[in-house]
This record gives sequence, structure tokens and C-alpha cells, in this order.
Amino acid sequence: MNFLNNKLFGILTSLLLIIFAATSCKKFLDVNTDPNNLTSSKVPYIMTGALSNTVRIQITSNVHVVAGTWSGFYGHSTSYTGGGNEKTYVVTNTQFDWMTTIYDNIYDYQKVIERADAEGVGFWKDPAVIMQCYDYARLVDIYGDVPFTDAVHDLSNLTPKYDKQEDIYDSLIIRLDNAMASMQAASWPTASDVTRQDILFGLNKTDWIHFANTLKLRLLLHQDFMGTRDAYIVSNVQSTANLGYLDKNVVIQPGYAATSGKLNPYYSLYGFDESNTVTTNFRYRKMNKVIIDWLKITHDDYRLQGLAWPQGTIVTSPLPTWPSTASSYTYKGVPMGAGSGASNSTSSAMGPFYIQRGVTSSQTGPLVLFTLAESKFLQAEAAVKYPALATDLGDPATNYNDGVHAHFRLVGNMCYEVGAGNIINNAGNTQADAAYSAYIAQPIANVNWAASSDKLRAILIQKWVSFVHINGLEAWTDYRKSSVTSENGHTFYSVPLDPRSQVGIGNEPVRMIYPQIEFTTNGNNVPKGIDHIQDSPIFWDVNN
Amino acid sequence: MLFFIGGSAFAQERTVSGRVVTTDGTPLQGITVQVKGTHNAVATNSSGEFTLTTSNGSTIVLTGVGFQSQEIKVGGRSEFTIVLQSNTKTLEQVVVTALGITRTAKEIGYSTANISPTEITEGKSFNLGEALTNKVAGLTVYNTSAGVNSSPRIVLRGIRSMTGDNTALVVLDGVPVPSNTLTYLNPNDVQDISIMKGGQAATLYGSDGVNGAIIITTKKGSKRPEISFSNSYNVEKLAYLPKFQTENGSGSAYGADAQEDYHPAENQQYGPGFDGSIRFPGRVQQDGSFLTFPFSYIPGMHESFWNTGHTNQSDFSYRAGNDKSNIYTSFQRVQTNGIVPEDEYERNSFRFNASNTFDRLTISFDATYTWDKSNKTTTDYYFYTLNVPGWIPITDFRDWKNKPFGDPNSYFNDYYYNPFWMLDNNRSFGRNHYFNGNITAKFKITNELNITARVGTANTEFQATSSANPWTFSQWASSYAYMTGYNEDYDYFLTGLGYNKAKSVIPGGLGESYSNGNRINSDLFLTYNKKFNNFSLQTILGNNIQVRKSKNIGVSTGALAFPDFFNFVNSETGLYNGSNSISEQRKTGGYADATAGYKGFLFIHGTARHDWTSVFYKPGRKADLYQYTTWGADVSFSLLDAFHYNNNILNFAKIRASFNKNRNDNIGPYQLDQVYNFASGFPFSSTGLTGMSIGGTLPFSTLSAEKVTSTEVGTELGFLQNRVMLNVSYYRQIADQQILTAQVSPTTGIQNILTNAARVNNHGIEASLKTNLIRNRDWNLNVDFNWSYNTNKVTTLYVDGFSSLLYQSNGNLNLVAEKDQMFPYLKVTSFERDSATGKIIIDPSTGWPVKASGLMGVGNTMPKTTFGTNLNLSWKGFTLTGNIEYRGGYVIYNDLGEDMMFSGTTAISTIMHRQQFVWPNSVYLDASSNKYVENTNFATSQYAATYNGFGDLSNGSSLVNTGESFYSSGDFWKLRSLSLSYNFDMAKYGNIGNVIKGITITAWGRNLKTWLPSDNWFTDPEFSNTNGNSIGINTTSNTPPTRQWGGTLRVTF
Repeated sequence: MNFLNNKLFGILTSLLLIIFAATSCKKFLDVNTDPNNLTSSKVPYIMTGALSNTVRIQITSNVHVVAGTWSGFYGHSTSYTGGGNEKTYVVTNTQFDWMTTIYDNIYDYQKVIERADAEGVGFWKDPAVIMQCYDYARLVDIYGDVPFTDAVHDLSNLTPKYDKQEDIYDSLIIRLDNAMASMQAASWPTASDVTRQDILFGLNKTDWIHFANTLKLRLLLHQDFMGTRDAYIVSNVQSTANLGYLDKNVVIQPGYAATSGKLNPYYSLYGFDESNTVTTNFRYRKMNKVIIDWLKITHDDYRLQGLAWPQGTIVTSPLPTWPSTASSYTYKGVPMGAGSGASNSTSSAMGPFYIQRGVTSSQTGPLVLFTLAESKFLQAEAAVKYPALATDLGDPATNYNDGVHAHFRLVGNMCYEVGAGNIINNAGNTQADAAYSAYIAQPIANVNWAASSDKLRAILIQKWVSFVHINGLEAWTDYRKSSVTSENGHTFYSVPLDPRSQVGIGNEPVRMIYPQIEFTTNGNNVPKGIDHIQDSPIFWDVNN
Repeated sequence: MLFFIGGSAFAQERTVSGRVVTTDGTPLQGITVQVKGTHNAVATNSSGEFTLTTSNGSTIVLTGVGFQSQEIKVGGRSEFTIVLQSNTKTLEQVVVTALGITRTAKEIGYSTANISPTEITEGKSFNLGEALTNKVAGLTVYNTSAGVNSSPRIVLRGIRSMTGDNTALVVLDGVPVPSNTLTYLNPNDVQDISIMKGGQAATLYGSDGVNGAIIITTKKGSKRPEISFSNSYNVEKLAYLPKFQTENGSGSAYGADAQEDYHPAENQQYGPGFDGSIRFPGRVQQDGSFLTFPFSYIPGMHESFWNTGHTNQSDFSYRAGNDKSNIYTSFQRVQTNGIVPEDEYERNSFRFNASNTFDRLTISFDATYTWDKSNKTTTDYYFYTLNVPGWIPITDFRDWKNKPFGDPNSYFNDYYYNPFWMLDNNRSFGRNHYFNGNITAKFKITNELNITARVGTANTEFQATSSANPWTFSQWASSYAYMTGYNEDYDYFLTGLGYNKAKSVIPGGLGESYSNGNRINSDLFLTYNKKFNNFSLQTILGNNIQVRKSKNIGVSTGALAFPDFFNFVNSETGLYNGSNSISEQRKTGGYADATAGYKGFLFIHGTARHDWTSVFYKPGRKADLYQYTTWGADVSFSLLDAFHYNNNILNFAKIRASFNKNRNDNIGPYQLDQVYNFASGFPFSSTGLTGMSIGGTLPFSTLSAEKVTSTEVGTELGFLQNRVMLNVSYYRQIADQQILTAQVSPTTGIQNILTNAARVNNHGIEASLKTNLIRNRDWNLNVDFNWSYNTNKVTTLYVDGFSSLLYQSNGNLNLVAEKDQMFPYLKVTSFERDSATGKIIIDPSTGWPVKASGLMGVGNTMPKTTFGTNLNLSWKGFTLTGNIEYRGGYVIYNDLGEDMMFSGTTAISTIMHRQQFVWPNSVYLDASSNKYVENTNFATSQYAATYNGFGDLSNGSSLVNTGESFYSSGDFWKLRSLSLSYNFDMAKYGNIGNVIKGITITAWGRNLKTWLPSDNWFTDPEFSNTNGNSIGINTTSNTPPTRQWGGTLRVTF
């Protein structure tokens, strides 16, 4: 290599190095900002999304329909395969995961709690805490022991330990008390562009306190058959009874519309899509014989017509009218566990309460989280069980009748005399009021207060009816805490099996088993030895 | 620099050119042709040609590694054809390595393999990926389906990365291109393929080369103009189907016995036994007509769903050149119809290569333009065929437009429509355009120093329209149609009039999607080669810049107003779903490479590269997270040359070793942030409300590229003048700090983390033996064997308690990467077994097995052992080739089996003739002794035996819900291809021979025969529902295996 070549080589080498330096600069690489997704958001938007999801979770096919099946609401048309696990009570941990969506929801509230102060919107924290309590209570009612103190800390604790279910319940009561106290002292904004993000109560502080207090009452009363918690329950009810309980239905209507993805979630999940095309769910998820028969034998045609469609493949019209024209229809439920004999055309579909094909008010109507009826029934239940509480909560007979009445009005406003505003405030409804009066006057046990020898049973049965299409899990929880045992005498309704059923009586599920994902990702912590849904009841279930 | 000036000083200066070939006529690339006593030298091109300026009295010297050097006096001649004798002490092969740089085999300290054009085209596959099957030890082609344009997946030396890309880098004429290039490149355009098997071989490509590389060099122009035409035609036929039952007809669990289970509108085949009686499937139509068929199995019924496919392939190519320039151009057209009725595919490829030399500068240009179109059904046709009972003569329903009982109004089945109606009314039309090309400028600064600049681009454009026709049922169908000749007493369910399915319309739909992708790759590098006495030095110094962009747009609507009109104006709702996304990533790097040789027998080679990559870049991130260095070194030692050892048996012996530390940056862009999604339904326009939900995947802030360490040792031995050549390698790769999207406990609030976590050890051994058993004037016989064994083991997965990474699951299986196992690993649901005897435990009350909780691990789903043999026998003008492959040591899951068990079509479902039986080889728990005892008397209940136990989806412990019924060994032997060709000796044909230079006719077949183990009664074990990492599960989306026969005529002028 001669001098010239050396020089050339040197020049070219430095040229290359210059190119490196120029191209390796950060500017060249700075193209990695995601253009397809948002990578940040503000607390109010997260709160709105989380509230919507809390309500949606309540009606998912797992939490609502499977639990609802086990409390006598739903069954499967035997024209279609599927639903075998809830039908035969054979569940393995690969089949259901009721956990992921709930923790995902709790996590969103956790971020609200952690970030609210920094964003100058600290008032969102108490509602977020209350909603976390709502979610954790569901988890305990489904699984018993679950992660609580270690949960939702994402990367900082990837294998959360499990806490004892009783301890979680007790903590939830304390958290609710603290949230109520904190809200009482707080002053909340009133500007509509702020309050609108609260799709439950529009940042009405009183409503939030009522809601927290009613939730607290629900959780305390889950424990009222245990016998060991009576003093605890009474003192805790008394401590906040003066704050009052829900006096309205809790619903969300963020702006549902008759377009794809924006429909009322119940309507689109179990009914029809935006083109009025029937979903598979509507075809095969049918009403259960237990609820249909109960409504029939108590001559409860008003609610029967609202909660179920007459038998038939897709009967979605005409809409029910009152007084009843039901004689021209037949209503038929699917027997528990039926392996055959309940075809698509010979069983009743989920009713016009949420599902009226192509009807705008049904496509875009509100979704119910918590009913006024339940609030009344809880107050009645507490006062019957603990007479000392009657001074705080009022006469149980009145609360009982108000509860039934409230549910008649809800059914009426959802499907006979429709109006979204009326639903929240449970506005008067002439047909519903008349139907209620006729119904409640019947001298039938568990309908008429005076005719009911077992008042608690009457309350639980009417509460059970009020959970249809609203809250399958809560119905199942009430059933588990109070049924089966003869000692306590409150087999408030039974879930009789079909003679052709594929399960044996006595195999009723008492819990959900932990999902497979927990065994693969948190195997050291997830409780072992709970392999069947008949194993290890929830702590408040003393009947097994 | 003297020659530079001196050239024009000599009056007799002139140009000579020539072609250098081996004794058997193969062109030799990379032979140095030098004017003796001067620096004036050139190297031969890929066609073996050279052009050189010299004078009459001079002598030219030809030297090339592996060949005996030769001197030729120029004299008055200007054209030469020079045959070089091989130096039998070395391997002859010239290998194209990274960046298109050629090396001779003995310089290379890592494992490579070459595939010649004849090997590529012998099976006449128009898919280049498929054509590589079974050609090289350690290279496995996964042909995941038999569809009309499938995309095979090519893997070198097993898989390393659990969630990242494991496929080999494809380099076309020096430019890295997307791996789908193999599916559209015309195999006839290929001059040579070098396989860089991994580790060190592709270090120069940095992270891109971590999975090894397939380096494709296309044909270039030649000095002797050549025009060639060829045409191939082949038929494709169904090879085999799973075994169907022929005993029972339509029915399900309706009654107490098999007779009562009959139903005329049932898709399941759990009805009574065939008895030849006349039955009436379906319902009575408005005109009073109804169907009648004998209730007996129609032989060949299930075969009659499948067509005979045809493929027509036409090729044209032209090559020419002169001293300074050459061109090559080709055109290929492929038209194919598959075995699925109406499926069509058409591809047109155009290629153009040219180069020109201006003094010291050579500029070349390569381009491929391909456009294809496909028309395929979107319906799961195979699944629909399984739901047609065996006594229905289904071809009667094919012409549903003109004949009754085929359309949805009148088709007999209450659950699934006529497969032919579905096929015709659910279509997808695709049109794709591919362009790739590069421009290379090479400047010779001195004889030793060259600079090369190469800019390449690869562009794709995909358009697809999917259409589903709407259907409105007649009033009669929905409300009045009824059954006849059927005892209504049995019909507990379907009382009432009209079809269930006819109660609502078939809405139809339309989707349009468009996407484009664009890659630019730029290389600028210097090469410097020098010899000093006993030493040689070859160095490369370069820079690489890559930019990749893509964009996708999709629009769809869910319901159409009128049939056969596919435009969005026809949307019944006026509502559309839209989606779009864009993506961009950039990378730049610098590299250096040096090979030092000593006396031609010892070579030490080292490579280092430093890269900066955008996918790990975010403002504020630490520099070492988005830049990294990769390096490697290898050594090659030729023993015989070193020790001057000569003998008649062993004529070549090389040992080699390499070590390499690479990085694998295989994540896509935009993965460093947790995303926020609109909560379900939001935003709502009527209220203007927006609600967000926090995404479930959280990346670790320290995320960076995976680390891959490879070591390899090997030997290459030549015996008997290279008539027997053995190449053996052992390699070990450790892929550490793997990037996992790992599921975490949902109780953390998130569902996945993106982190550097797992570690995989991948190792294997591969050997190839090439033999030339007969070589004389008339006969030649080559038999090659390739064998490889590869296994991997997941040694670390994220944290304690995190034991498996899920790829795919359904109720019956999980496909996972699991600690201490080879991945992917299959686990299935199973029956409970007595741990002492391994026998299945039954429940005495039903006689049926008890389902075990949890999942049973059954094995890895990628083969551990592959073996292939290639035969090439020629006699005079005849050539016979054959290719047989074995793969073994793995299991597959046949989801297809689930569908067949559900529908009651599988032969297994009648193994007990639908009668009560005592479960073979079972035990039960004896209540008194609390021990498992042999079951000889508890028979299954009739109900369980007929339906509940086999096809009932709602029975948790039925066979259809138990995965162990459907996995099988994946082992197979295949006769991949067989061909016989005749090459006319045109010299015998006088004047015609002067015009027509060659005629070759070939008859050939592909996938002619497959041998499977007895537990695989399902389908071709190569099929898979994905061509990603999680292979091993086949479904009805994989249409049945086929075999092909065809013929080719090729004429050259």
C-alpha cells in the first residue's frame, strides 16, 4: 500500500465515522412514541371508565349468569351445546376466571387514589375507595381468601399474598366508615364539567354516602346467619345508621346509543346487536324454571311479563301490556341441570326488562348497579333479624312493602312505561302501582307480610326476585348464606333438579375455585386443596 | 498506480474475455485472473466470466482457492473458455457470506451450506421457502398448511426466543429483506443460496442475523445470450382424510335409545345405525317437496367435498452481456386452483438485474416486482363438511342456485348451512404488490481497497376485501316448514313449525383492508484485502442504516341490505367500524470484520458490530438500553495442508470453532409504555363523555435486547477425491434475558409484564454426508444424507411460582413454554389414572372415566430429530431425483379430532359400535377396601356410550372434552419429491441444435406418500394453525393434505 492509498483509506475511514456520528444521534432514533395508543390519561377519565366497568362486570356471563344459574334465574336451552360446567356443577380451574376483570377494575381505582392529589382532584379518592370495597366484597363472596393488602401494586409486588376473608371483610367496613367520614368533611366541586364524569351520582355527596352506607349494610348482613357476629353487626349498623341509605336506584347511562359497541351492554351481550341480529346468548341463555314457577304461582304476571319472554325461539314482540294479555302466551323455564327437554322454542328467553329487540329505549337504556328495592329489603332484613335496629331503620313491614313496590316500579319503568329519568328516582307509575297493590294484597306466604309466618324468608325471597337481571352474584350469595341447612330454617327457595338432570342433588356449588392463572403465576401463595366448587364455603356460609 | 496510466501507452492493448468453468462445466465465481507480472487483475463473476484489458504478448494467470492455478498465453485470441482442475486437497466451494462477500470454504470457521439452482427447482415448487425443505441439515421448513398460497416458516437450528422471531434472516443480493420475500420470489431466478446456520455466520448483520441467514444470490447476465422458456403443469389431489365412521347417521341425545335419538335435521351423527331404510332429512317445502334418501353410508362421501387442484406455471428468462455490462430478466406466471372448491391464486413475477462497469466503478441494479391475487373462502369449509351426515349425497347440494334444498331456506340441517352455500357466499379477495430492489455501486480504489455503497428497498402493499352475503329467509322457512315421516313423539325439542335458524336473517357483511410496508436498508463499506508473504488479510469496515415503516387501514360493516352487492353504500345500518395504525422503527450500526490467514491453512476471523435501535429508545432512557455491541470470532484449520499430509483416502480435513455474543432486539416499536385504552363503549357522542381504562401490560423500565451466546465446533472431511464429504457440527446457544410478555397474577392489577427474564439453552448436532457413488461417462449417482438433532430447555422463567408462559389454549389444552421443558410444550386435559398402575380410573356409577383436575404434560411440539436423504441419479440425458424426509421426537394436537368427535364423524366414535362397554384396562375405587381394583363389570351406561360420553360438549368428562383423546405423535416419513427428466443432447440435431440450445422434459411429483404412526389418525402433522412460535396445533382451518403430480418442459435458445 503506497502513501496515496494510506491517505485515501484514512479519509474514507473518517468519512464513515462521521456518518455513524450523524446517524446514531438521538434524533434519528426518536420515532418510538406510540401513534396508535394513548400513553397517559387524567384521573377523571380513569374514574369514569372504571365506574362503567364496575357495572359491566356485574352483568358478565360469569359473575351474573353462572351465579344466576346457581340461584335459579337462568338455564341453557338444550338445543345448544355449552354451559355444561354450570349445568353439571363440574368445574375445573381452567374454565372460569372471575378474578382478572375485577382486579383490573380495582387497579384503575387504585391509580385514581394514588394520583388524585397530585392532579389536584383529591375528592375522587373517597368514591374510588368505596368502589374498591364494592369490588373486593365481590371477590370474597366468590373466592373467600384473596389478595388484599398486597394486591394491585403492579411491578412492586408481582406475587401478592392471600389475606383471610374475614379480615378483608372487616377492613372493608372500616374503609367504608372512613370514606363516609371523610366525605362528610369534604367540599366537592359542583361545576358540571367536573361532576359529569361521575356517571353514578354526578358528584352528589349525599348519594355517595348513602351508597357507601347501604353497601356496608349489605356486607354486614352477609354475616347475619353466622350467629357469632350479631353484636358486631348491630353496633356497626348503628354507628352510621343516621347517615341514611339509598333512596334511589343506582344506574349508569353514559350515553348508550344504537351503534356498534355503544349499545346498552346487557342488551348487546344477551340480546341483539346494532343490526337487530340475535346473539347466540339470547338463543341459549334461558330463564330458569325456579324463578318462572315462583312468579307464576304467586300470580305475579306483571313482573313475569317484564322479566321473561314467552316461550319461543325469538319472541320479542309485542311488548307486554297491562292489564295482562299473558293468557295468550306461555312462559316456561329450563329445569336446573336439564340435559335435554328444554329446546329453544319451548323455553322463555331473558325478558323485556333489558331486551326488547330494536326498541331504542332498550338499546340505549340505563344499566342498573344497585336497586332501591335492595336498600329497602336490607333495612327490613336487619330489623327483623335484630329488632333493636328497628328504631334506626324503621318498621320492617314498611320497608318490606316499599321494597316490593320499588321493584314493581323499576320493572314498570324499564318495560311498561319507559323513561330513563323515572328509573333513577323510581318515579310513580300507575300500572306498576296498581299491579303492586293487587299483588301484595294476596294472602300468600312470602308475598303478603301478614300472611308470611317467616318474615326473614319473605324478605329474602322478594329480594331474590329483585335481583333478576340485576345481580346474579348477590342472589347466589343470599342463597348460600341462608339456604340448605335445616337448623337455621331458611331454605328460602330451593333449586330443584330436573329428573333428567346430569348432576346429583347435594352437589350444589358453594364457591368458585381459583383460576388456573393464579396457579401458574402466583403458585406459592394461592390456597391449595380447593379443587372443587363444592369445597370450602365462604366464611359467612355456615350451612355446609 | 502505474498500470493506470500505462494502459493507454501500449499500442497493442486489447480486451480479452472468457469464461472459467470446472471440469463438469459449472461456472466458477471469484477466480482471480491476473496479467502476469502486473497488478492488473479481475475476478470472475457469478457466471464465471471475466473481461480484462491486456496486450498480445502477455500471459494471464488464473488462481482460485481450491483450484490448481493455470497460466495461459493470450496470443491473438480474445475469447477463452478455461477449465480449471480442482485442487483436490481443498474444498472447491465458494461461499457467498454476509454482505455478498465471497469466501472459500476453508477460510470459514462456522457452518454453512450451499444449495444449487438445480436442487431448488427439482421439486418444481413455485414457493422458494417450500423448495428449501429437506435440503440442508439444521434447516427446517415448516409447511403449515396445504392452502393455495401458504407461507412456510424457516428455522435454522431450532428456536431460541420464546416470544420473539426465530426465523432466519433473508438476504437478497446483499440486502436484508422481509422473510415473506421467500413466498413471492421466483425460484428460477436464484443462482445460489448460502445458508449461514447461525451464531457467528451472520454476526455482521448484528441482531438481525441472530437466527442465522439465508443468503440468496440471483442470476445475472451472461456473455452468451440465452433465452429460456419453460412451462409446468400439475394436478393436486386429496392425499388422505381422517378415518370416518360408517355405522351411524343423523341424531343426538333425544331419546332413551338409538332409534329415538334420530333426528332429520341434526348435524351430529349420534343417531341410529344405518339400516338402508328410506328416511326424510330436513323439512317439507312450500311446494310440498321433501328429500328422501336411503339411510346408509355413502362411500366416498367425505372425499367428494374436495376438488382436484391445478397449477400452471410459465417461465421466461433472458440473459445477455458483454465486456462491461450484463442483464438478466425474467417473468413468471403461476395460476393455481386448490382442492377447496373455488379457491384460486395467481402470481406474476418480474425480475430485472443489470450491471455496468465504467472503468473502476461497477454499478448494478436488481429489482423484483411481483403482484398476486387470491380468491378464497373465509368460511371454515372443512368444519362444515364434518357436519354433513354420511348418508347425505352432498354433491346434490352443490348447485344450490339452481337446484332445490341447497340454499338456507331449504337445506336440511338445523345447525350448519350447506357447506357449498357457505363457500360461495363468504369470500375473501386479496391483491398484493411486492417490489424490492437495490442499487449497488462498487468502486475500486486500488486493487486491494474497494468501497461499496448499496441501497435496498422492500415494499409491500396488501389489499383485501372480505364479503359475506346476506340472506333473508322466506316466511315458509321461518314459520311453516315441517318435518315428515318422522315420529313426532321422539321430538322433545324441535316441535313447532319452521327452521330454528330461519328465525333471524343472515346479516352478511363487508370488510376492506389496506396495508403497506416499506423498508430501506443502506450499507456503505470498505473492503481491504492484502497478502504479505505467508499471511493474508481481508477486512471490512462499514455502516448500516435501516428504516421500516408500515401503515394499516381497515373498514368494515356488519350487515348488508341487498345480496351480491359489495359496497359500503349497501350497508343496512350505515355504520362502519374503522381501524388504522402506523409503525416506524429505525436502526443504525457500524461494523468491522477481519480475516487473517496463514499459509492458506489457518484462518482467524473476527467481527464486531455496534447498533443503535429505536425500538428501545425513549427520551431519557439510558444509552446502554438502546445500543449494544455484538461480536464473534472463529477459527478454521485445514489439517492436511498444515501438515503436508497426503494419502489416497482422506484428501481434505478441516476443523473449525466459533464463538459469538449476539443480541436479539426482537420487539416491535412502541412497547416501552403502558397504554390507556378507551373503556368499553367510550367515548359516547350524545353525552361527550370519555372514560379510560389502564392497559394490562406494563413494561419494565430496564427493558433491553436479549442476549444470545453461541458456540460451535465442527469438522469437514473430504474422502476419495471429495467423492465422499462429511460435515459435522455441534452447537450450543444460550438465549438469556429473553423479552417476555409474561402473564402475571391478575391480583397485581395488571395481567402482563414485558421484561427481560427467561433463559433458554438450545443445542444440537447436525451432520451431512454427501456422496458421489458413481461417476463415469454415462452414469452419475449422488446420494446425500442430512441429519440433525436439536433440543432446547427453558432453564429460567420469570420468578418463583411463575412456571409457564402460555402460547395458546382451548378448554382441552395449553401450549406453553414451561420451566425445565423443551418449548413449545403441550399439556392436555386427561382422565385420572391410578398412580400405581397407570390405568384409567372409572366411576362405578356411570362406568365412565373420571376426569383429572389440572393438565397432563405430553411433550414438545417441534421435532427433535430430522433426517433427509436426496438422491440424484443420471444416465446419459436422464436424471432421476428423489427426496425423503423424516421428522420425529415430538407431539401434535389435532383439534380437528375434537370437531369430529363432536359431530360424531370420527371412526373412533364407533369403536364400541355405540354400545355399552366396559372401559378397557380400567380400575375403580373399591369402597370397602379403599383400593383400586380391576374393572371387569362396570359398563358404561347406554346413554354415556352413545352420546354423552363421546360427543357431548356439556359433559365435562366426555371424550370431546378430554384433550388426551386428540394428541398424537408428530413423527412422519415423507416422500417429498420424485422427478425424472430427460435432457436432449442438442448437438445431435444439427442446425436445430444451433438455434435451440437445450430441451428438458421432466415428470415429477410432490408429497407423494406420507407414513404416519398409528396414533395419528388425523392429518398431516406438519400442519399448524399458526406459523409463529406456537406451532403444533392443527385445526379444520388446515385443509387436508394433498399430493401433486406434474410435468415440465423447458427450452433454451
